[in-house]
Amino acid sequence: MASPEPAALAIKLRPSWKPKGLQVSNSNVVFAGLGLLAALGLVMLILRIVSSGDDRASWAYPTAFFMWTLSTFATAPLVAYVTRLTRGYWGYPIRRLAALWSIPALFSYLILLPSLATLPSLDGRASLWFGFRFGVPGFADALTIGFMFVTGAALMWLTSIPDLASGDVRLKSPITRSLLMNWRGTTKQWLLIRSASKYLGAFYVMLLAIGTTQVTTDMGQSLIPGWRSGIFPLYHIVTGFQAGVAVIIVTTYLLQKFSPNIRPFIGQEQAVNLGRLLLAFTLLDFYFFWADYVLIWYAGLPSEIAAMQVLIADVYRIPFIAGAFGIFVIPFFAIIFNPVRRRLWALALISTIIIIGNFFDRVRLFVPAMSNEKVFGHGPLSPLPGVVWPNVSDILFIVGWAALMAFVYLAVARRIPAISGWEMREGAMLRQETHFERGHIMLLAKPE
Amino acid sequence: MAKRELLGLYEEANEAGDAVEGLRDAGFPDTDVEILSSTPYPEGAFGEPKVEHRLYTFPFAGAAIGMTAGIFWLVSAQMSLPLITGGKPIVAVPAVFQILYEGTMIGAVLFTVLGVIFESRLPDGIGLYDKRIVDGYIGVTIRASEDDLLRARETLERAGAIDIINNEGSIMGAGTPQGA
Amino acid sequence: MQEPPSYDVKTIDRRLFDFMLHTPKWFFTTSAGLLTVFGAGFVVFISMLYFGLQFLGYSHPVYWGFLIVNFVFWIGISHAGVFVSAVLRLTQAEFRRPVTRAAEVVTIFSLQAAVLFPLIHSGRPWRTAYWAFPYDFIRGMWPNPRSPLVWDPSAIFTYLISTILFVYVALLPDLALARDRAEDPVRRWVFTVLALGFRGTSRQWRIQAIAGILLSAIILPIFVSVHSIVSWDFAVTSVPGWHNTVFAPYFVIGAVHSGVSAVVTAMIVMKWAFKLDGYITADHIDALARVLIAVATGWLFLLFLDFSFGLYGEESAEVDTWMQRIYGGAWPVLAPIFIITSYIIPVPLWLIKSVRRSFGWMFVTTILVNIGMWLERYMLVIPALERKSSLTFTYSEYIPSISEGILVLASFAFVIVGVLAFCKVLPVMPAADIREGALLSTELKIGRRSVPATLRE
Repeated sequence: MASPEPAALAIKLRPSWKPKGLQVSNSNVVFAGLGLLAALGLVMLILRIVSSGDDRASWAYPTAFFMWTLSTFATAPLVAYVTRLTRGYWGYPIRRLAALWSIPALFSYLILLPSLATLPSLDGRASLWFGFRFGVPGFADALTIGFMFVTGAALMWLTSIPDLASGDVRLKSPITRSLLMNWRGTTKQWLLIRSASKYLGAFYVMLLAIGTTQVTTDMGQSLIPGWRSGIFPLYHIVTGFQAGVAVIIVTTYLLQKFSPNIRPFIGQEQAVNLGRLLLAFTLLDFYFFWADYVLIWYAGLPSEIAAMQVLIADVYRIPFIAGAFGIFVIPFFAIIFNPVRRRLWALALISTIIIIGNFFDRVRLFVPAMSNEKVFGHGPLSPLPGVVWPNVSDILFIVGWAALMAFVYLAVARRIPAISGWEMREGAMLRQETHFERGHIMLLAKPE
Repeated sequence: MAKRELLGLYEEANEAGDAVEGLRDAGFPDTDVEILSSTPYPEGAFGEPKVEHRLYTFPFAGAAIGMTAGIFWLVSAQMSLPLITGGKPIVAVPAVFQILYEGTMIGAVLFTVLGVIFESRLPDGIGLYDKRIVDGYIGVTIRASEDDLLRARETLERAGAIDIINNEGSIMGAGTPQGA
Repeated sequence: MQEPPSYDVKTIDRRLFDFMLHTPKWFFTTSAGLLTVFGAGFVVFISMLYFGLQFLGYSHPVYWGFLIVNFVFWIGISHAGVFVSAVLRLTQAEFRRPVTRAAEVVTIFSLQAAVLFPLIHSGRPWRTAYWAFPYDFIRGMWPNPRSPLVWDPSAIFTYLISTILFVYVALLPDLALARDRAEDPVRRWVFTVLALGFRGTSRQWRIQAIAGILLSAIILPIFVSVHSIVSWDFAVTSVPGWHNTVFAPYFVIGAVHSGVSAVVTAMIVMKWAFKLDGYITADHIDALARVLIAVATGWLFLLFLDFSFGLYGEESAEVDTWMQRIYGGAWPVLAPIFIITSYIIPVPLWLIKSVRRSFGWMFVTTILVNIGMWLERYMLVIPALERKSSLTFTYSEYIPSISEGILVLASFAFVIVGVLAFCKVLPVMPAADIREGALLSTELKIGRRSVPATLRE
């Protein structure tokens, strides 16, 4: 077992160790640069809404980008939830930095809404809504995803309260006091935080599963006649878990490198465990892809073959290959080796490749769907549609919004510490380094 | 000169650790000292050095061999009866992948198990052993030349051994040896 | 959550080896009864060989009945062993200690039970050698590796061998213990040979620890592949109701659901039968019940995906199959029973802590799960064949036969007898693991409370 960093074990309960927000000034070059690009992204969004109206094809790349944020930033907070649920001690230093991603992910909702507005009528094409027509698919999808984002933000906020409520909460304004739940650190309040975070986390997972099923079907499968795959929502979720872990790894690496507040607490323990998670999800990615592909190959049904030719074999072959290398081939052959999994910088490099590969994967899945004109009927698609390359506007949109995600994260991390003080104190209380006869060993307490 | 073995039995883990330390201080190499227990103690609990092994290489070797054998069998089986079915190629990746995967995995498992047996130095029928170890006593064995045997025995006794055993039996007269 | 066991090694060994060394009366009566049931199954099998498959009630188009349902069911049960054992080892969960051996043993015997069914089902079992054995005997025809029916034997064989070897490696310290505790010279000789001279050196313990992790990591992908390949027996066909890409993970998670439930059932029975109070505690079933909640909910989601995407394309044959599964024949009664027993009763009950920690409740709810999961496999297989093709004429409607029922009961008898026989010969819990748990468990004083703690390298 990799040991925690000595600083994590040495945290004092009295006086209470309190972390600070990220020290990033407005004049920091990177921060300012990201801010400018973020503004560009917002401008591109407004321009697109104004100029494109309900032209679905012009929302192809923004939709792929949204699906990418659903896979990466919206899934990242789950690492916090799962390590909390399973009492994974190694997760203490990274839970807050994972949960903070729920705020940038929330912003991507602004892309989803106009994209949903361009979806055609459900009549005459396959959908999960069958005969039901009231508020579907647009309103229903927006509602589910909206609830999901709000749940994620609430979970992040709730678990930050003990750190934000520093000082006497009675001296704060009424609004602040309400937002901080009049936090005094009573036993009841701690119990509430623990229980509520478990339930909110469970809701978040369920909403992610249902929301992903809805949007991947409505903005993906149902727009390509003949594409019928029950495993596709799961594939999207699992590749999302992989990309979410990759985002955590990159964030952890960057914060460890550039934040003196966080550096002492991040070490091999986090690298080893995140590496294991990444390996597991990489294998699962291939499994879900294969379960899909082998059935289509075997049955040889013309409508399914045509859909596969669009998404994999023919039309979008290049992004498929880029995605396959980024999501599976390179990560698998790198992280099966222990020495790679022990080094955070190596994992961060592989994770960057995964994040980029995931983006290409979303492009090959959702760009053909949103740009397809022949959405009605049950296939086979004939003739196959041509590939839709991104134009300058699409590229500026993607760059701007990617920068917006990072900008919002840094802005939030300035106010809300990226490392959870109360959880680090809890970790120091529940873990001790000790001796067993002549050997060094860890003592891990497991309350409840 | 041929080495002979002595086994010291201890009630407490700390005493066994004292014995290991004492033997090291007396100049006996770590490779001649062995600790026997019926419960797995954390590594280093007796001050023994880290165990060096190459167990991790066995699964990779087995997987490579399994995959190679699988490819050979799959390709030759299908080429020997080249029937085209469903318009698919005679040797097609989606068709053969499953069996190839199983062949790779069983190769990995078989070689890992062989590696476990090899790295554990099994079958082991030559070392000293005593049944009291199964009752929770801890054994410390030392292989020493005839000249050093007395020094080894004294070191074991000084650490608090309740019994010392050689191939002939108990030297302190407290029990009989059981070879493994 | 942890209740640290605090026994000395002699007490641990005495309790764990008790059933091996002393035979209670119920062992003989139970074994006799079960062997009788197994014998009845054998008589049915011989009858089937003589009369043909119509003795079991099969005719066009429903050629896959109880036997294939049972095959899938037992493969599902067999998944528990690896899931519980490997996953809990990899996550170093302390509550794994009493559970792993029982789970692995259930796996071995349920796998063997599963293998019997395709052999029986072929009608002429000896002929399966031609298309499954990887060598061309005399006919000039090799097995066809493109067929999922050939993937099955390779996957099951790999899984069976891997599990047996996994159990054996983990058994080595216990075989050494049994060798040293055995008073009967025959037993002592057998254990001496099997233990390969294991002495408990630091090197051997270290290799044991690493081997547990390595083999767990290797076996997990095998476990996923086995039931996926079984699912592809159905899914790679174009049969309406079967051709759904979600089948592979759906089968796997269903297997985990039924398998872990079966392990909980087995553990509760073992606690009662072998008087293992203090070893199998409320903590263990509580922990497994929490795992089951997550697994069952995942399974429900995949069932939803199977159902939704079955109807998604609005293909008339698919819709027809699903309507048959819900409204046809006895399904208006069986379909609600299936969903109620698989999820609606057990999972809400498991959300209540006192239920999770009650042996009686957990016994009942896990049995219900397996009833529901058996029905689920039946629901998957039969209706799809009944509605296979509108041009297919039928000789008769498929009605399950008594002979099929006897074969199903015989398989249960086989597995239970197998597990009992194993427990008679070898320790039902990993004694070395239990001892290690006792050695490493401790308490940490925080304020006025002593919190259970564990020492970890």
